[in-house]
Amino acid sequence: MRATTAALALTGCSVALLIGVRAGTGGLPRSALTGADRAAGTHPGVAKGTEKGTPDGTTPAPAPATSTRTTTTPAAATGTFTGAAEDTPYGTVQVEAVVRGGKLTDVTVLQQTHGGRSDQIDAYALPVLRSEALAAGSADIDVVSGATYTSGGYARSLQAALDAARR
Amino acid sequence: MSPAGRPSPGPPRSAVTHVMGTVVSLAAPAAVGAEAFRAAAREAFGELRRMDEVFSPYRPDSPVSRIRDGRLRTADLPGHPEGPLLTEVLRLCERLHADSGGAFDAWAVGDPPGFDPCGAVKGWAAERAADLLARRLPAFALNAGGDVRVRGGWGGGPWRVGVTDPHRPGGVLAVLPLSDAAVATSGTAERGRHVWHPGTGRPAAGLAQVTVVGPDLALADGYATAAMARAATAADVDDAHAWLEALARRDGYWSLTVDPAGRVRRLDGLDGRDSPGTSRAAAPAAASSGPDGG
Repeated sequence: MRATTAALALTGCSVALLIGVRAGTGGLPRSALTGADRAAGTHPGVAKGTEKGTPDGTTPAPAPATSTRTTTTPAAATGTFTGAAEDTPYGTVQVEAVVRGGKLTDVTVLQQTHGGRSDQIDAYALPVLRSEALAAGSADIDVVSGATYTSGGYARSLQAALDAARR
Repeated sequence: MSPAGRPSPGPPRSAVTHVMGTVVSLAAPAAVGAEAFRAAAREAFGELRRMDEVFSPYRPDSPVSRIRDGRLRTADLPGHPEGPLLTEVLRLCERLHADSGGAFDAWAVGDPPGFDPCGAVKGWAAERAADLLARRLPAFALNAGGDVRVRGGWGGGPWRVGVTDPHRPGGVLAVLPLSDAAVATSGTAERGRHVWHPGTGRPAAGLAQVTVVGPDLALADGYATAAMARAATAADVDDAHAWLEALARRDGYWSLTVDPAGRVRRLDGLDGRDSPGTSRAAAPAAASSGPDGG
């Protein structure tokens, strides 16, 4: 039973995500998706994300009907969420994601490395990151196989975007 | 949320945890009850955590660390509390070593070379966790840090498993519709060149990524790592492809490889005939100096 409890606790605070999503009053085991902000400090080396979700009114996102749901089903998140600045092989990347009704509807790159080789790669990779994340948001992909990621690598992975979109 | 033609059963249930130095995601259809899903996730994640304690090379007192530095002899395993698990993994490592013609060598990992079964443990542990899940859930997708095990499907179709493009972060090479299968990927995109060629003692660099699809995640994971190791340099890539082709013919484990220039090959036991829709044009110029360049 102790292992079970530990598993649950870790489920709630594992890693910070590129895209943090407020899961409202959802009844599922909380993943990093919502626990990240509160728990990031306990995981050295994992960047902390910030969240600008409605209803605090700081974003231009439409007023979310879902953010105040109190049902026992997982509430679909709505809002604009700013990811942590992540160091990637391509330079520092930070994205802002717009989520409506639990679905990723837009991704904006807020920051990228300038100069040299990284800049050239960013010019190619970031639009792809955006378009592919949106494709994933439309649920054409359920799960992603790839080279083993670290916790930080997960944060900027397509799998993380999929997990976020499911909230 | 659903593509055209796919009924919308609502978002799949999902849970995420941090274990084995990576992140593990579990998804299931909404038809699975919340309580059943939660219990299954707890049990599967707990199993992964227990395996991590036994097999982590980073915990100085883990049984694997003690085997590595000689404090625990393999001859003493029958009397060890975790003996059966350790013996199972040692047998898996021996099988992968034999199947790969020595390319997968858990006894020659790192510099200096030492015993480290990590290349086999993650897939093996995830397969164990998937066995536990299968007792509780008719359908699920378990993703252990990039190694995927699916059962059933959702929304009236199979799971759609994307394979990452090592040269395009966030991009996918292919989407595989699968119902009961394992998909394991080994590559340099996330952790650099970390697969060691046992013959040269140097990191393998001939391929950027290998994905193996088959029934068992422990073997698929080991075969993907073995193919990376066989492709020590560009000159060895043909040999790695021939080995994967033979593997597909013999055991039905088929694969997709990507080389450092972005060329994709499918090895499916059909003697190198690319199946329609799986090959693609050479990657754009920017990708050729992708993750492997640095």
